[in-house]
Amino acid sequence: MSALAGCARLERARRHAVKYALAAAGAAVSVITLAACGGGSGGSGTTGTAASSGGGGAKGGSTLSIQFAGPPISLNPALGGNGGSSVFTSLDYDPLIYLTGTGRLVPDLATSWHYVGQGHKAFEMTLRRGVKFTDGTTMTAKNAVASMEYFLKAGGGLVGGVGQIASITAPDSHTVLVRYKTANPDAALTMDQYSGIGQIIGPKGLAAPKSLLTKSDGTGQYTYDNAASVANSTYVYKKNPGYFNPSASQFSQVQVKVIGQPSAVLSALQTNQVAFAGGSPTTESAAKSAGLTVLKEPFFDWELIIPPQKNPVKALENIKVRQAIAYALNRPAIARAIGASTTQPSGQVISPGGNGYAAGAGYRYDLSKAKQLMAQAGYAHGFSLPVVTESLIDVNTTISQAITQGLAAIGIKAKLAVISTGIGQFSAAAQSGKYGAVIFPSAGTDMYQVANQVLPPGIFNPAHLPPPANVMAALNRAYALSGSAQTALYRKAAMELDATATLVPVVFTEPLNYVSRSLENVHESFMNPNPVPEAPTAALSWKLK
Amino acid sequence: MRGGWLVRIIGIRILTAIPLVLLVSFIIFALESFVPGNPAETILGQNATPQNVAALDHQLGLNRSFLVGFWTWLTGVVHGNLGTSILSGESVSSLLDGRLGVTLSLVICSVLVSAVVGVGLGLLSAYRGGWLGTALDVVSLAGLALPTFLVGTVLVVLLAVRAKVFPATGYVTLAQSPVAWFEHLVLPVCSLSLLGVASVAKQARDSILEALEADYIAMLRGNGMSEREILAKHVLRNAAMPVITVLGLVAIGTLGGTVFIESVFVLPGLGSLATQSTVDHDLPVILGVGLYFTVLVVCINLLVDIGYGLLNPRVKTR
Repeated sequence: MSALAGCARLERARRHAVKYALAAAGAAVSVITLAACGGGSGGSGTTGTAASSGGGGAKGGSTLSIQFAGPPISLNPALGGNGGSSVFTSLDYDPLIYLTGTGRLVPDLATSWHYVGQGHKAFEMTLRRGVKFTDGTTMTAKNAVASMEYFLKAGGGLVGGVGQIASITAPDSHTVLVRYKTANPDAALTMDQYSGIGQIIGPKGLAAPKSLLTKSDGTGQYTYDNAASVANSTYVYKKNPGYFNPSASQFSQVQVKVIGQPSAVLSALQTNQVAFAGGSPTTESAAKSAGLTVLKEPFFDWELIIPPQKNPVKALENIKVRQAIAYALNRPAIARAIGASTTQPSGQVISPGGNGYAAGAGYRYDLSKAKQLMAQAGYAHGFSLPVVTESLIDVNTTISQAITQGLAAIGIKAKLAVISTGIGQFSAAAQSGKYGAVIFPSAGTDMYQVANQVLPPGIFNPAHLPPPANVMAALNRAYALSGSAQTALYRKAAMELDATATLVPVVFTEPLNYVSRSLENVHESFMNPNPVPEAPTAALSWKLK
Repeated sequence: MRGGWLVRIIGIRILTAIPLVLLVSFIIFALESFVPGNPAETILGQNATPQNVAALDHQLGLNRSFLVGFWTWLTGVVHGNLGTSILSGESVSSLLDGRLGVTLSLVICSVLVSAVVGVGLGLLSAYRGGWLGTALDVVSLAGLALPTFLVGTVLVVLLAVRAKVFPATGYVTLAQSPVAWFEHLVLPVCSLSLLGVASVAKQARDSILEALEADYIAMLRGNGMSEREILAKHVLRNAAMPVITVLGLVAIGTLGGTVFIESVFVLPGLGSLATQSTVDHDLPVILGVGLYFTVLVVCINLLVDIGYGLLNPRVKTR
């Protein structure tokens, strides 16, 4: 999953921010009532896989109904979102390479792929033969190149996550060659169903991109049915009879229902109106009690972002002060306070399981060391610190409050400013130069993704500073390598970035997915916490029992 | 001229509606401009840098002055064009028309339930009194105090999740299936109309009691008129005016209530669109929703006026 995977969840959070006040009350009622009623059969609470057991089931024959918290960013895959919102475009646009729920890359529109030469700067894919777009046009390498080039110039939000592409060419009618300006070790991953560029749009759609909002033109298992859909409410996809592998299609129709409120999501699952949905910590125990399978994987790494220069709070330009902050945060206590079942302490810029995570490294709670560092820096009595956060992902600013309260232990009096109107607005506030620190989560499964997210100017680099030279040196060497040599350099880069204490990791959180007992073969993993129903083979597709 | 009063009332309502719509739209436009951020920042999200925002502002035509922006929108409205959604590019009219049926179903059904159940309870309470009157007071208090979304959530848990009698979420149009339409509306309408039932019942009881205590009713009884006749021809007729006033207020209140209820029951109506477009800073959609809601309020007031006219001859001759 790409580094921008967080964006869709950010988008989901943004689109439903105003509903959370209701949600909390609603969820509380659900939990209370369920508890009073004695609950269900006891949830499995399985992490990773929806096991195929138990009765019940969704009605509707081969129609699959699933939930997403907000409307699509766009139905045009070049302009759409990633993460969970990818489902709106992955159903009707197959990717070149498919990322399974367990995190494996398998052939889809491309049957094979490899880097050309050394250094991860050229990536070649061989296309499947006989694939047709919705209108019957045969897919060729020329079509694929045109679609990928359109993606690069369409202005969508995912373009920053596919590497710095120098050129895309078609050496022959079934081969696509992508050349990069700088090494891209994740080229195959960027061709998946979450990254946009690999979802090939047909020539008719490219000729009239606006038509893609009402009529799909892909090679996917399903086609978008605009007439049967209700914008911002229900999106209907019909089976594509011309799909290249008909046996992979498990449903005659897939409906994506937009349901934002956590209690309504739970009700919809419990009454078989949807079979898969994104969960919420407020409904997790009720979902388990109702017998739903609860899937969760580490995703967001919450960080206190502290610019080391051009910081309005001059004390923070002293590395000892930043390190003192890193040692002063009692992460296990903060994680417990936020919610132990979905929150874990985090001491590194990359989550456990990520390529670059070093077991045993990172910051741990050491208050005496923190106080010592503050005294050495000349700030034994602390200082005032304006901090900016948002309440869209950090609902009720629970995480931000826990972090800022932790700073009081070394005398830092944090004043929290909360932006609740949108991530864009928060981004602008973070980069306004008014705040000494920013609270926001990063996401990524390797250091290539994490670095591409946290090093460029933006929320994670609000003072627009150049990245640390030693970190970039290690990363640039790592990007051109593979295997253990790459991992060693990723770890080096991660530890050197941690040492600067410009990104102080605090906790990582695990977003939830709920799976009804009627649905099987749903898998998710650290590599792919946002699985989609369709897959290029029957063995990988979700199935209704 | 018979029916002239009706034309006069409709004419007056239409004339007053024009400045009302203008004023409401202007207020919405002004209020939206005070909300921090803009659609460009919303669209760009994490990628919102000052340069990107400025470029998208220009592309979307958002860098126009306040008055020019409002005038452009207003000119479009006069020509029957409410514009397009900044985020989805869809026509605002088609977005709103597709959702109007849901909101109208909710409001009309809730007002009908409030009227029928409310008047029925009020009548019973006025005639029987005693424990029923006390119970009505308690129910009224509960109806006024309980938030609709809380009532809705409890109903979902009890009647959809536990008893599996009604669907928990979603909507089916009347044309698709009248039975499914009814089933999907039962819980939202019950949640929405609780306040209306309580208000109407209390008003109906008080008005009926007041009418029953009037001297002319005692005289009618003395003249031997049956209780049924007194009730139908005099008491209900005289009690109806304040009840209609309350029903009008209930209907307008229900419009606001749909914003919450549509979220709880995942109904694709105008209320949920208002919420979503506000979060998205999608000004053309927000203005469109405001316009539709204003017109609905004007229509409700018009119906109330017509109701007055039908019940009270003095209105016709005024």
